[in-house]
Order: sequence, then structure tokens, then C-alpha cells
Amino acid sequence: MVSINTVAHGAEMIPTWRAEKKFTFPILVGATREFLEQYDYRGSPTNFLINAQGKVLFKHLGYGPGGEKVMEAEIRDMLGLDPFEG
Amino acid sequence: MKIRQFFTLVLFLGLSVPAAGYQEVPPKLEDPAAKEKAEKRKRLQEINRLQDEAQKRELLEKFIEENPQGPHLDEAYNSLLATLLKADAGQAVALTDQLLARPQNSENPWLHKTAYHYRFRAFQKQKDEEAIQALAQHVLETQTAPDLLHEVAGSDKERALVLYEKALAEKKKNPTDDSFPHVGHLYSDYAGALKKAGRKDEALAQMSEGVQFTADQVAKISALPENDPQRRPLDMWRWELIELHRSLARLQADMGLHEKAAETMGKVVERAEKDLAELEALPDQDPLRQRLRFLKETLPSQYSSFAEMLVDAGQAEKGLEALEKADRLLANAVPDSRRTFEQTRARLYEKMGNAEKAMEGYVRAFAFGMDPKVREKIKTLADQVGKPEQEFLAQAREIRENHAQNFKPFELKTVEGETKTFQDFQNKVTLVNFFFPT
Repeated sequence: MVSINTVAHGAEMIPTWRAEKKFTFPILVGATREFLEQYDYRGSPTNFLINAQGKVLFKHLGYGPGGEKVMEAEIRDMLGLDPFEG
Repeated sequence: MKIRQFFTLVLFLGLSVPAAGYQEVPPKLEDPAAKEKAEKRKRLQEINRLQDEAQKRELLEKFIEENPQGPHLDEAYNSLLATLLKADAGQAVALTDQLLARPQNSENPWLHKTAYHYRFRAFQKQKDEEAIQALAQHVLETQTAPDLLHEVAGSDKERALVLYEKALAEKKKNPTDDSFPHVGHLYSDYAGALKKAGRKDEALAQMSEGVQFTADQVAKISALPENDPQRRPLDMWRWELIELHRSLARLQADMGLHEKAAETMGKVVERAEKDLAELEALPDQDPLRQRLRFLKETLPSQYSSFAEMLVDAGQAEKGLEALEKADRLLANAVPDSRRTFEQTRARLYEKMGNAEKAMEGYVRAFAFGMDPKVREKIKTLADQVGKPEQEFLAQAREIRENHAQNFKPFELKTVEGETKTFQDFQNKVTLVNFFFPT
């Protein structure tokens, strides 16, 4: 998993925030408006789930209650597991 | 995060100022008071940007000590309380004790409100139910600021009704004041509380009163000449009117008044279509056109709500027409928006007794988001339609794979300064998350 910061001037906060939340995934910075347009970025958070062939199987915009269950099922399915077990 | 808040965030991003911060109009050098005020403000901004909480606190305390009077105190105390709250709720409480002991003065009208706000949050952090209750009661009995009453109402279930009632009553003393919360907002929240308490007829009456008052305001302001400065809040009032109509329609629908709900929602849709037409007629460079995107993004859900109310009122054909309009607007939408729409459409087909069309919608929704609730619908409907569930799940998979596009490779730096490409992260399953730090 990798996270990309979408705000040009927010980068200084990241190390502190990352430590507070104890995140372990890499965080990338430097995304410009042109960069974001390439991915048809319309708002935060946007999550892309990409398979081994580099295809975007799921693209989720925004986050609502239950959103994490949807992505969990998708990731399980993509890993070849039963998406709704348990 | 609710869709409305989300789009507000998107809007904020779209209108956000350049990274360097906004340019203040430089104060006239001949005016020492204005210059000093601007300097203090700048100093506060600098302190607020610090990452080190302990340092920020120290500097804020020092700043307040050195500048014990002046309008900047509201902001300074706000920042200090926020900082204290993060570190130690108890210290925030102690400071609010001090501030509340001071008499209110006209130079710092927000000091008490700010103190109450943080006091409340501190007690919430400490999970001190007794203190929260006592504070809510105290605010109810002694405070008259609508925004404070409204805030406490949002957190205190027990007193929500009476707090909203008082907030509205206070706001009605000066109902056209456009500081938050707007009078329409208060009517809506009060009606919501009445509804929760089972007093639905009163809720309806309040909502209707709110709609009428707001509609009158819109008419009054619209009648003013084009360049009259008093026209400035017109947009906000028009927006409130739409929101109130939506809330009224939902309330009517909840109470089983489906025809009235459809009629009310119809007004919302009609107004939105007029706005859309007006905006599209504007010249390309007109800054008001910015709103088009927002309007186009919210209109589909309004059509969907309208469609549902029409179906519930027994007007299925008109309901399907409204859905068609939403469908057309969503032709180029991100899959997630289409997903919500497909689910709504499927649900309405279920209401109309059309299992096959409903299944089509759920399959399309499931293709773009493996929502467990949608999966349950597919399971249930598969029985009704008489085909195995697997067949439909496979259809969803096929749609998903046909729509899947290649993720564009990228090259960016990590926070530590190391250059990375997409290849470095690609795996059996890769999650790329675009975020906005808050």
C-alpha cells in the first residue's frame, strides 16, 4: 500500500501525523494538480485497488460508514479469498 | 463522511488559496494602530503554524501575557485552548474556569463562547458525564447565543429538544442575521428533534414555518435592485430554501405523506434545473460557473430522492423519468457515484415489483463496489428470479474487468526524499490512497 499526499503545502505535517497514527506504509509527496488530473482525482480520499496486471479494479471516492467493509471484501476477493467470510 | 460534507470539502479545495497563504492588503504605514493590529495577527498566524505543540503553547501563553487586551485575544485563546485540549483536558478545563470568571466585554465577544465550547469538549474527552450534563443544563439556563446553544444541543441528547427550541427562539429575535447557524438550519434541527420525540405534527409545523420564512426572505431580497449591497446574502438564503425544502420533503415522506413529499421535492428539482440553465447560459469566464460542477454533482441525488418519493406516491412512471435524468447526468461520473445511483434505481425497481430490472442494477452496483448489503440483495433476488447467485456475481465480475483501466505509472518522492515509482509498490494487490492531510 502507498499513500500520496494531494496537498502541495501540507507535507510538513506528515512525519508527526504518521508517527501519531503509527502508520507503516510509505507516503509520497510532490503531487501537482496536473499529476492528480491524470488520475481523474476529484476529492479526498480516493482509493485505487490495482491487481497484479496493473488494472484498476476498484476506485473509491470519499469515505462513508461501512466503506472499510467494502474495501476489505474487495481486497480479499483480489487475493483469492472468500470476500465475505467471517 | 456524508456526501454533502464531502462535496463541501471538494469545493473548498477548488477554491483554496495558493500555498503561500493569502496576500493581506498591506496596512497604511501612516496608521500605527492598524499596523500594530496586522502585526499581531501575523504573529499569531506564525505561532499557529508551528508543529511542536509544547512550543506553540508556550508562545501562545507568552503572546497573551504580552498582549492582554485587544480583539486578537479571541483567536489566541481559541488556539491555546485547542493546544491544551490535545495535551491535557484538565488544563483546558482550568483555563476555561478562568475565562468564564471574567465579565463579558465588547472587545472580546467570543471569549465566553469559546470557553464554553472547549469546556464541553474537554469534559467529553474526559468522559465526565456528570460534568457534561451540568454544563449543558447551565448553558440552557444562562446562555442565549444561538450558535452555542446549537452546539451543545448537537452533543446532549437529553436536552437537545429544549436547547434547539431556545436556540431558534433566540435566533428569531434577529432572524436575518447570517452568522452560523442560519435560522433555516435551526428550524430544521428543531423539527428533527421534535420528530425524534414523536411530535411529528409539530415538527411538520416548524418545518413549514421555516420554509415560509425563508421563502419570504428570498422574495424580499430578490426584489432589491441589482447593485444593492443588501443583496449579498441572497445566495445563502436561496441555498437554505432548497435545503429546507429537502428536509421538509423527507419529513413528509417519513410521515407517509408521499404525495406532499413528491410535490415538495419537485420544487427543489425545479429550482435546481432553473439554476443549472441560468449557470450554463453564463459566459465561459464568469466565475459563477464554478458552481456548475457542484450543482451537477448534487443534482443526481436530488433526482433520486425525487424519484423515490414519486414511486412511493404511486407515480412510478414519473419516478423512472426522474431516474433517467439522474442517469444522464452521471454518464461520466466516477464509478462510486454510479454505484449509489444503481443501488437506488434497483431499490425502486424492487418497490415497483420488477425483480429482473432490480437485479440488473444491483449487479452493476456490485461490479464497482463489493458492498455486503448489495451482495445480500443479489442473493435474495436470485431466489426470486430463479437463477443461481453465482451467475450474477460472475456478471458483476465481468463488468468490473471490462471497465478496468491501466493504472498510470508515476514517479514521486517519499517524505524522506527518496524517489519511487509505481513499480516499486506493485504487488498482487496494490492499494494507492490519495489523501488530504488534516
